[in-house]
Amino acid sequence: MKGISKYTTVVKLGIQEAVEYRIDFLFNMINGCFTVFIQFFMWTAIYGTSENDVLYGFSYPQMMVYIIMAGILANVTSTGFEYEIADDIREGTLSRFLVQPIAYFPYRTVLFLGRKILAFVVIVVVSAVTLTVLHFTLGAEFAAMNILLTFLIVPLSLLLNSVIFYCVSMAAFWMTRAWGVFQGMGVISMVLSGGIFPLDVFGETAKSIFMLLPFQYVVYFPLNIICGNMNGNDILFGIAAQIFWIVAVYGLSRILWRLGMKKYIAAGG
Amino acid sequence: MFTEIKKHFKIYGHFLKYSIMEQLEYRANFILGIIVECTWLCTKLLYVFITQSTGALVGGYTPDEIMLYVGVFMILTALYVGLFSWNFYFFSWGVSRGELDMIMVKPVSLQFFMTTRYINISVPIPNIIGGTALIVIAWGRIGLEASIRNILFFILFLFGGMVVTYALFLIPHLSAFWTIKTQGITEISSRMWDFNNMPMQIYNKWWQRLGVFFIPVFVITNFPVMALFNNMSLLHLIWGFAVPAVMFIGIRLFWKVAISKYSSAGG
Repeated sequence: MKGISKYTTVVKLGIQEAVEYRIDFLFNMINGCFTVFIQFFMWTAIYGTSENDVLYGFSYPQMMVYIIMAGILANVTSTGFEYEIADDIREGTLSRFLVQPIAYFPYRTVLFLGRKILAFVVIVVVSAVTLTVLHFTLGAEFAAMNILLTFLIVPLSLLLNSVIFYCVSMAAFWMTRAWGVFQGMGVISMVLSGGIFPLDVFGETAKSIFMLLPFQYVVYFPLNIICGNMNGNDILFGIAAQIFWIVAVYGLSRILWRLGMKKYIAAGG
Repeated sequence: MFTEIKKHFKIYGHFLKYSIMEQLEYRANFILGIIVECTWLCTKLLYVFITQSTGALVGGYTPDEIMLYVGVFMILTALYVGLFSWNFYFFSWGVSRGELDMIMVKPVSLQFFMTTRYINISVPIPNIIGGTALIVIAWGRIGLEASIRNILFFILFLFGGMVVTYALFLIPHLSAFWTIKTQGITEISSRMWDFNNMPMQIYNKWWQRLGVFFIPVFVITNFPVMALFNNMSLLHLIWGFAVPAVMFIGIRLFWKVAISKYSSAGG
């Protein structure tokens, strides 16, 4: 019980931080809107002059749902704690976690999820408004069950992205300045998760390769459920794959942590 | 006047020399910077890839014309990131830490010193290579036979676009003289850069007017390309020449107002 209570305290800490930095969250949302705004007009122009009503397997209303929801979801699943972990390793402040009765990975994950609770509530409301507007303006159709399933799956997407970037942050054990790795990985993850465009735009060969990676389960998979491109079996398989990747990437990060701790000298990388 | 210009050119040469020396000293960071920029470059190429694979017209531009447009956007991104953006970020950081004191007493323009001293070498490399390649390929495919007048206008508007970029993207950073934390505003303004990713013709008339005449972000990439394709209206042509001058004078006056708020202790 005591073990759980210390993590509930960390969750509260995360929520407090999110409330304190709410303007930062607002600015991030506005930034995300710019990308969606450009894509909205670009796809409208493309669909307007294309001979086909369906491009890459998406009708115009489906594509609008995808790009708007991808902007929202990519925003809410973004991490940023990898820079804090790198600072902990470089400046030696990781040492205090080694002597405190709290494990570093659960601490970071729970803090991250706590920070995202407020964002999650906001995106549920924003998404509900967006989907309603798209339904009445463009005639986009959604099954209520699919929307519900998506929002049940989003916490798993959050967890998956958090373990991926926790794993990436282990690079700081070997590199004094790991910002380049984080930034590069951020862009790669954004593209391969379907956070900018649906993975279908890359063509069948590239898509089949990307589907073997964990990134697609962060954005592409939940959004395909909303767009109605998945049946019950696909959804069940997707959830199982999400859980598999969370366990597998966490396992990899544990190995890297053990190797990294042998390099750690508590005085900077 | 001539001596002053000559002096500033000489100083700029020193800035370039020291920037190269500094960045080559940290070679791993230099190479990492190139790799990170390559990943960004790939996201820009995605837009070309999509237009090529759908074959659709985007804002009246054919896929090959879009390729040329994105190439010009990459070149301008290289110039913006290479020449200005680092300086703007360091500038607002320096203001918040009260670090202008020692620079103010130097016998050189403070604005010139603070906004041009760092020249980023690594980030522009992939953009220049990628941008040039796209322009060359697209030029051949379109079979563009631009007249000397069009090419001259293209170069002039490219230079004008740089001046507008300098003025427009420096404005948010000047807020550092009033508010210590400028990150939110500057992040939003730097995202505005992405509006150049696609031709302005994809937006409706009101957005176009806003982006050309009020916040002239569309002038930066659209005007050089429009000049090359010879599809500029007379109003756009006049505005294309006027707006860099207006913006440059405007930013100079705004700088003078902003600098008077400097208290050397942040904010």
